[in-house]
Amino acid sequence: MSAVREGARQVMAWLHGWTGLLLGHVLFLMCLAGTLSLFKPEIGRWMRPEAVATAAPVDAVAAATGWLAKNAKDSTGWYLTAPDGRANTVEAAYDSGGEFLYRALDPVTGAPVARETMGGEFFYRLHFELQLPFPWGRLLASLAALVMLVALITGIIAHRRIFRDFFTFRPAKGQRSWLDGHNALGVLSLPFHLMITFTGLVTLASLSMPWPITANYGDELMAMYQELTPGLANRSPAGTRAPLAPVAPMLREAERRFGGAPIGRVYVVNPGDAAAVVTVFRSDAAQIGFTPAEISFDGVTGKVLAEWTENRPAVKTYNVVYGLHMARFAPGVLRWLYFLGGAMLTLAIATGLVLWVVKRRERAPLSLGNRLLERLNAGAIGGVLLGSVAYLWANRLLPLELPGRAEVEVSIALWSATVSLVAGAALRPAIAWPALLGALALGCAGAGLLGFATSGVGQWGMSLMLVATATALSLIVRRQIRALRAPPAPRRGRARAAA
Amino acid sequence: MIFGGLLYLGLFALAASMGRHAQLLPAHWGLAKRAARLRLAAWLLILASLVIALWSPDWALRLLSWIGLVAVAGGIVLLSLTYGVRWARSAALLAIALVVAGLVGP
Repeated sequence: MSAVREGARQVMAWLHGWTGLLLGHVLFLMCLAGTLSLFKPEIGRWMRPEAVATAAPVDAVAAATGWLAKNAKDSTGWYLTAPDGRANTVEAAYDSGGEFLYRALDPVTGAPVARETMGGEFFYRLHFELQLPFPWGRLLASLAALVMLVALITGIIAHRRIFRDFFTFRPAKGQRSWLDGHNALGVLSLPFHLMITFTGLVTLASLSMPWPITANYGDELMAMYQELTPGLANRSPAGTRAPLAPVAPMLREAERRFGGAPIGRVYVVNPGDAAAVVTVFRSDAAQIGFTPAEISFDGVTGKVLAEWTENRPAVKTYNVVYGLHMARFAPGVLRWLYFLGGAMLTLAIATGLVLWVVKRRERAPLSLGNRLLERLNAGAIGGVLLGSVAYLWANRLLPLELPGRAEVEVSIALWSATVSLVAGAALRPAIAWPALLGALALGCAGAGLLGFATSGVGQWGMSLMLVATATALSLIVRRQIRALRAPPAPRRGRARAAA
Repeated sequence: MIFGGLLYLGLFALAASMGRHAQLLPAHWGLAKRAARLRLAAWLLILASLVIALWSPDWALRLLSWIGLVAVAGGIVLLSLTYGVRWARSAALLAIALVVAGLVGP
């Protein structure tokens, strides 16, 4: 019986290793971007230092619709997110001249803020779209989440002494240290890792498992969305122009009907058309469940077309699962605990990737595949981190009037990551790690100092975090450089033979 | 506050009940003979912290906080065991103070 159990454990360990390895680098990118997205509004504020004005959500959205009515008349829809205590601008997504745009709009004037940037939205989209065209990015992210869940479950089964190893970390012992680190990072935050992976998988379930939807709705996807959000009135454009009624009274009426809860998202569909619809969603910040209520108004007359407060148990359950992943409800301390859990998962993935190579090197000389993987680890892990920091540098250094500035920022991030990947593949890993992490430490310190120099005291929190990260990284790099200068240790086999 | 303190004390006691980490408590306390009792006490403390966390109208948020605090408290014990046991002991005293403050406070 114990032989069977041991065999099963070995199979699980094998599966854990291979599932983690095959999509490990994608998972590292997803987890890092997702962890950073927890502070999407704060990153957005840091990246728009000129946008210091604040306004009440209703006034800010009214100002935004005023500007859009003049400057995006021919748009098919404006999708707005009202500011709250964390973000001070209106996040707007709309089509204009055949292009789909994301802009942060000033809460007082309604015009786009001077520094055109995706802000934290870049990390948020990167987390589940991976900068790939629809639907491929989301499908890959969904597959990676599934693989992550398999890796977590097989990891639990393979781990023989989960509680005994709970508090164990033996530094400077090669493979043993990497294994201890990987186990500790994985086990200490295991309930969070299981929760965030499962809920992440559910958020993309309509794409990865579309069959129940197809069976019930066929090609009528709109019918499904209509049933999911009955308060969202759906009307085709009438083709006759009509001015949009003042939006502020509709938003105030929505707030009143939400029992005084603030507004969150506001959709204006068919703006400037006789069939315009303004849909107001209650803010997600006050409860775990996503999309708790919505109300639609006729855009021309301001009359209520549809209203819905979600009370259906199945939909509420789905919304809670979705909301748990998004963490928009999380107050300050809980958001930091989410961040810690995400950071631990990201590090667990990175240590797992390194451990794969370290383990094999201690047994025998590395095969060609594992030597490539060793270099890919340095390049990919360093590259993703360096790309993120390059994005912050680009935000501060690119001229404000540069056309397509937001897209150039993203390009710089991606090119920096690519260059780092190539450098990691070209250099010896012993050189590549300190070189890339050293560049990252300098990058974080520089971005932090740029932040101090170009923003007000109110936005120094993120700059301080960047400098603290740079300090921690420089300690690691110092240690790596010392190890590089030290005389090479004899191989275990040779040492044993000599003994 | 109370559930965070109890959780830390539970994890501290759980680590101390393991032979490998027995240095968490002074040797003259005769831990070797009491390891099983200490382990039971540790699990009871962890369970109590969970029950207290859930005993609130905000139970969903507090459950999430409890899950996050397991990583924080466990991390403190782990790092202290690796780099200086006195930090874990000081944190245990702080955790006791937190529990007492939570019990007598408003």
